[in-house]
Amino acid sequence: MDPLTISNISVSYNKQTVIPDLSLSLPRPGIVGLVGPNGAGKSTLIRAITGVTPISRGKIYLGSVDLLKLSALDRARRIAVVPQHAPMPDNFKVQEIVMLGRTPYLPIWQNETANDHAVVTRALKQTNVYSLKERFVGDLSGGELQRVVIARALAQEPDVLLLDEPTAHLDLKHQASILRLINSLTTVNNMTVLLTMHDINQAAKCADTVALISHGIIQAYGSPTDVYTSERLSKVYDTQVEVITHTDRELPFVTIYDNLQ
Amino acid sequence: MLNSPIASSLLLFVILITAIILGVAIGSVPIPPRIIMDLILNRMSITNITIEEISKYSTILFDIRMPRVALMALTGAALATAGATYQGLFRNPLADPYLVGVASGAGLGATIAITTNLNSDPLGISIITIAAFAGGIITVGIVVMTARVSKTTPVTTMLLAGIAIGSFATASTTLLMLRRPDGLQRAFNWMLGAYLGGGWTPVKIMIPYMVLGSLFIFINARALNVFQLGEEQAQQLGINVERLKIILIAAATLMTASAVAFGGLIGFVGLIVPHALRILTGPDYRRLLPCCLLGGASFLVLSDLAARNIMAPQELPVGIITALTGTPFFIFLLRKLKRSVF
Repeated sequence: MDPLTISNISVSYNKQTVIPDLSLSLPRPGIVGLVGPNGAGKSTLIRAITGVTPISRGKIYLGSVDLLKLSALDRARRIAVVPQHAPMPDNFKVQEIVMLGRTPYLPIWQNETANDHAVVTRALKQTNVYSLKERFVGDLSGGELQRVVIARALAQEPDVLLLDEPTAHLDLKHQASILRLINSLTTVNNMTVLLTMHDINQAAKCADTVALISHGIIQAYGSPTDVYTSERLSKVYDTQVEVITHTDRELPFVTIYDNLQ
Repeated sequence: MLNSPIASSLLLFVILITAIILGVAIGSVPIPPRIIMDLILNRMSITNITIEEISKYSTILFDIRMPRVALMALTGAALATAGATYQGLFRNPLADPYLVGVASGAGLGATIAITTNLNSDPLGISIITIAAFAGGIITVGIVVMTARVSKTTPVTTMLLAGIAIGSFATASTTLLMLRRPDGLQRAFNWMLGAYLGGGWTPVKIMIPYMVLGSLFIFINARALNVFQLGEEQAQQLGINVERLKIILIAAATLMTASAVAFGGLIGFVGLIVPHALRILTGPDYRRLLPCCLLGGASFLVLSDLAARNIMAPQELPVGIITALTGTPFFIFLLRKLKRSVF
């Protein structure tokens, strides 16, 4: 299977280097959690992979395909993004929004084919929003909306799905259901999934592998148990943290060490 | 909401045909529909009726009313289509065809022509028209270049540049008018959309801009839908955002500039018609844009009909009618609607 290989990329914004030299390999299928402090370069890395932000050096390969040499349309057929803050036109219906995910496959003058409708129906069903397809997106709850955005990304039939803070602003029940959905993407869709998360405990629960990033550099990469050591996290987050191991699940649990009271 | 795209287009097409018939029939000399029919059949050499009564209407119909109605239809279609395009492109419900400085630039161009008493009529059309067209295009060019930040044209920067440069042009227009008060009335009339005549020439000049402009806008209608997800997402879906922006701004600007040059600054059409039609057709630009073409044309033909007749023999600038009738209609639609239109 084709892994996503990022080798020695460097990204700058306004002459300021955000990512100096970063290499990362993402397995397929597989879920990698990208964790790190604010401003560490998580969103920049996602933008670099999608081509929205140009990279000044390095290579990104999907299997043997050089992503940087692909046209924007070809890249959009392989890589889809679920952004953290996305404008949503309230007056579009759910199925119209999901259909926009077919854009990379449609020449500008051509309308959707039966196959496009079939792909959209599959995406709506997999994300459990099929019953909402005639609803206006402006009428949806936060949890429903997030599923619709994921459905739109699935309609792109990508090999790689990038999710930026997919559970932010959701309550516990909806967080759990979004995480279950993301988990199914590797088994059902055979995808490479990269997700950024502020909540590093949730990342540990959801991802097989985590990458800890700060100052645009991957500080550690591996299983949550290996990556989450109190010494490393305290240094990266510049805060004293404590790592406890869940007795029954063998998962690390990270908490702030300071007694805040 | 009419769900079938064919039904809504058909309804608007019938309205447009009715508006055109009323537009050519009603006036200081009413022409009975039966005679309009005979005259058109005669012109097409299908019949050959040579009754005195019919031929006296011929000049009024073919040389005065028809070109005027055609110009109004083209102008309304251009403004409504350009308005919908700008609203989609800027993802801003308040965007109208004049947003990026076309109007103020055209106003300045026209005022320069009026106050310097340029009276030549090259190409058989008023120099005011040519000056307005040039003023509009030059101003948008300056706005786009000002707003360009290293190969991209951010939407908010462009809106601000449009407002700033537009204000500069408006101030210059006012200054010119104050210095040459004798041109004030003419400049003022032009700005409110007073018809300047010119027979079929303006129509012939406008048609290429309309055809090219709508062609470029219509083939990008689905891309405009994708644009509603924001620029970054559109880019991630494979849309060449910067190229699309330039194509659509150029197309909408050419349509607007040609409309403004011949029709003057007719307000509200480009803002209200697209919103009213969104309620009818939904937000999909593939349905909305053709409806704007038809609906904008009908609205302006009917407004012009009112402008010519309600205070006859005095003719009102059509901009007054579009504002006076469009606003209450729009308020009615907004109040009736439970959800946000845009």
